[in-house]
Amino acid sequence: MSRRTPRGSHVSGPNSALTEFLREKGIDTTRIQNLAGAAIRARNDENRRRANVDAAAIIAARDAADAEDEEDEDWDEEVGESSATASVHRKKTSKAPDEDNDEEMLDVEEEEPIKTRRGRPSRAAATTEIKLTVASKRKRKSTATVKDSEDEFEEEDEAEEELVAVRATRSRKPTKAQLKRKKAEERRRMEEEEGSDFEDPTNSASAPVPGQIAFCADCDCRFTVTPYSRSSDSGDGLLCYKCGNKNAPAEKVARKKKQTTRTNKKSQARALLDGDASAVKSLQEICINLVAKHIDDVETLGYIGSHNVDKISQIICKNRRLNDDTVKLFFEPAEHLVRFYDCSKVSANSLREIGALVPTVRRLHLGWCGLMNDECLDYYGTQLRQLTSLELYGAFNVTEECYVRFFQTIGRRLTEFAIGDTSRFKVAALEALVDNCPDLEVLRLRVITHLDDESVRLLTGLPNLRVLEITDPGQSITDGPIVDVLNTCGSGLSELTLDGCAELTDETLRAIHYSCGRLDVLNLAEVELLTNDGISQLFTDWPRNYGLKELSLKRCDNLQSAGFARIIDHSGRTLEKLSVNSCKDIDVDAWNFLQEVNLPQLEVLDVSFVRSVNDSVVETILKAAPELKSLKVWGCHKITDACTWREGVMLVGREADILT
Amino acid sequence: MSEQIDDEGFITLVSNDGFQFVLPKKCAFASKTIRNMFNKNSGYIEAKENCVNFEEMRGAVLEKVCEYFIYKHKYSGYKGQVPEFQIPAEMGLELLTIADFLET
Repeated sequence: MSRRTPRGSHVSGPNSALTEFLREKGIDTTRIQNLAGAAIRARNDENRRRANVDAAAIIAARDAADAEDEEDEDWDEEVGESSATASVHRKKTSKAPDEDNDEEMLDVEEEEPIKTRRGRPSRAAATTEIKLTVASKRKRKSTATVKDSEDEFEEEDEAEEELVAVRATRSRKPTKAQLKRKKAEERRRMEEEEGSDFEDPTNSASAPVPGQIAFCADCDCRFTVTPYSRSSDSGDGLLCYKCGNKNAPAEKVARKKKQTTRTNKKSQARALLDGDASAVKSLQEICINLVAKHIDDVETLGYIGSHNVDKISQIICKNRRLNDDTVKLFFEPAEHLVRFYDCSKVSANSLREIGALVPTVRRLHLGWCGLMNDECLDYYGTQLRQLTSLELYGAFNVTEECYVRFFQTIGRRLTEFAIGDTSRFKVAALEALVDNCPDLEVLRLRVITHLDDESVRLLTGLPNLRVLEITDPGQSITDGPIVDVLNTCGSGLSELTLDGCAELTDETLRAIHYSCGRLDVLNLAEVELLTNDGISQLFTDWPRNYGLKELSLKRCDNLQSAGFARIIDHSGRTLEKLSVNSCKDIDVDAWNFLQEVNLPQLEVLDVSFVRSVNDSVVETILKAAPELKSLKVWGCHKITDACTWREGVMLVGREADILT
Repeated sequence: MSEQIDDEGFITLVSNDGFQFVLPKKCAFASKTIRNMFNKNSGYIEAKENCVNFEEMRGAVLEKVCEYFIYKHKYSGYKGQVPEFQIPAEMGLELLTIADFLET
C-alpha cells in the first residue's frame, strides 16, 4: 500500500521485469504488494540491521534468510505433489471451468520468468523425458538425480508441465502466495546485488523476519512469523494467523465477485458477436426454430390452412428466416399461389424445386431472389404449365437471353409480369416480352437499370395493359414515349405508377387527362417537374374520370393550395389514399377549403413535412374524413400534445410522441 | 408523454373457449400489443378493465403464451444458462401466428 505511492510518482527503486510485465498486462498488484509487505519489511529490517549493527547480527540475519529459502523449497515440493494429484483428479473428472483457466494462466505466466531468473539448481535439472508426470519429476529432483541437459527447450517443456500442473491446482491461493513471496524475494535479491539502500520512507515499522517469534498487532498473542503473515490495517506490525484470517472470507467473496463479473462480460461479448443480445429469444424466433426443426415432418406441425400459409410466409420472411429448410414448408403440391417475400437465403436449387414440387402454381411471386439463376427460370418456363403471373425482384443473376427464352416458351399465357432490381433486363428482353406476351395486363418495372425511352416506347405494343408501373428507372425517361404509351393503352389503365421518373413534365399530365378515363390509382411520387398549374388542369374538367381512389404526389413540391383544392374537388368523394408528403407550399387556404368538403372514403392521408399542418388542421381533417384510419404527420412540428384525435385513428410521426 | 403505462397489479387474459389466465402485468407486457393496449393515451377499454379477450386464441395456446411471458420475465437479464422454452411441435405454426400478432 505504501509502496505504491512512490512508484506512482516515478520515484522508485529498481523495477523487476515482472513488475513491468504485470503493469503491461494491467494487473493490479496492490493486493499482491500488501501481502508481500511482510517479506519486504523483513528485508528492509534486515538491510538496516546489516548496515548498523555488528557482524554477528548479519550472520543471524543470513541464517534467517537461509531458513526461509529452505522453507521455500519444501513448500514447492508440497505444491508440486498436490498439483500432480489434482491433475490426475482433473483427468478423471471434467474440465475446469473456462473462467478459471485464464486467470491461472496469468499466474503461471507471471511465475515463469521468476523461476527462470532465479535459476535454482532444481530448475536446471531439466530432464530429457518430457512425458514424465510432474510428481515423478519432483521426486527425481528431491533425490537430486541431476542430468546435465541444460537445453532451453527442455526447460520450456518443463515449464509447460508446470503450467498444466498449476492450472489443475484447484485452490489457487498458494499459487498466488507463492508468486508474491517470490516476487518480494527477487526484489530483495536485486537490491542486494545493486547495493541499493533503497528504503521505503513510509514503511518505517520494523517487521520481523519469517521464522521469528512475534506478537500480534491486534490480539497481542505470540506467534511464529511466516511469509504469509498479514500486516495489520494500521501497518505497524504483523497479525497472527487467526487475526489475519478474519478478513479472508470477505476477500474471497470479493475475488469471486470480480471473477464472475469478468465471466459475465466475456459471455456478453460473445453473445454480442453471435448476434443475440438477449438470452431469452422472442416467442416468434422460438416458433420459427421449431418449425424449421420439424420441417420435414409436415404432419407434426399440424394443419396450416391455406390462408395461414401466406401469413406464415410473411412472418418467416419478416424475421429473415426463409432458407432452404424452412422453404419446404410452403411446397404444397396443389397450390395455386406461391409467394415468398424474402428469398435472399434460398438457394437456386431450392427455388428450382418450386417447379418440381408445385407444378400447379399460377402465381409465383419471389422477392429478393438474388440466388436465382438461368437454369431456374428456364425450368419454370418448361415446367410450370399453368403459370400466368410472375414477379421477380432482385434476380440480378438471370441473364437477358434467359428472359428472352422464357417469354418465348410461356407465350400468351403470361398476363402479369413484374421485375425489379436488375441490370440485365434490357431492350431485347422487353421486346421479347412485348412480342410473345401480347395479352399482358399487368407490367411492373421497378429499378431497371437499362430502362430508357426506347424500351418504354416498345410498351405501345401491349394494348391490354391495366396496370403499368415504371419506378425509379435507371435512365431518364422523357414525356414522348410515355405519352405514346398512354395514347395507345391509356384508356384501359386502372393503375399508373411513374414514381421517380424525374424528367416528366405537365405534358404527361395532359396525356393522362385525355386518355386515362378509367384510372383509379395514380402515383407520381418524386416527379418534381410537375407544376401546380399542370396538376390543377389535370383535375379540372375531367368528367371522363369518375374519381381517383389513390393518389400520390409525394415530393411534387410545386403543388400549392389551389392545386390541392382542385384534387379534392375532383376526387374528394372517391379518394381512399392520398399522399401530399413534402408538398411544402400547401398552406392554410387549402386546409380552410377542407372545412367545407367531405372526404367520405379517405382512409390513409400523408401530410408529412407539410409545415403548415397544425393542431387545428388535424382536427379539420378528422372532421372531414370520418373513415380516416391513419394520418402521417412526420415533420409537422406545429402539432402538439394538445391535439385531440379520434379513437381508432393512428397519428403517425408526431414529434411530441417521439421526443418524450 | 405518450407512454403512460402502469405495470403494477394483475391482468386477466381470456381465451375464446373461456379459460382465464391471471398474471402480473409486468410479465404480460412482454407482448408489445398488450403493452400498447394499456397505454392510457390510446384509451382501450381493456386498460380500464384489466382484462383482455382473445377471440382467436384457444385455451391451450394462450396457456403456452402465458407460460412464455413468465419464462421471459424470469430469465430476461439472467446471465447464466437459460433453459430452452418447450413448445409441442404441433402447436408451432399456430403459436407463430399468435406470437406475430402479440409482437412478442
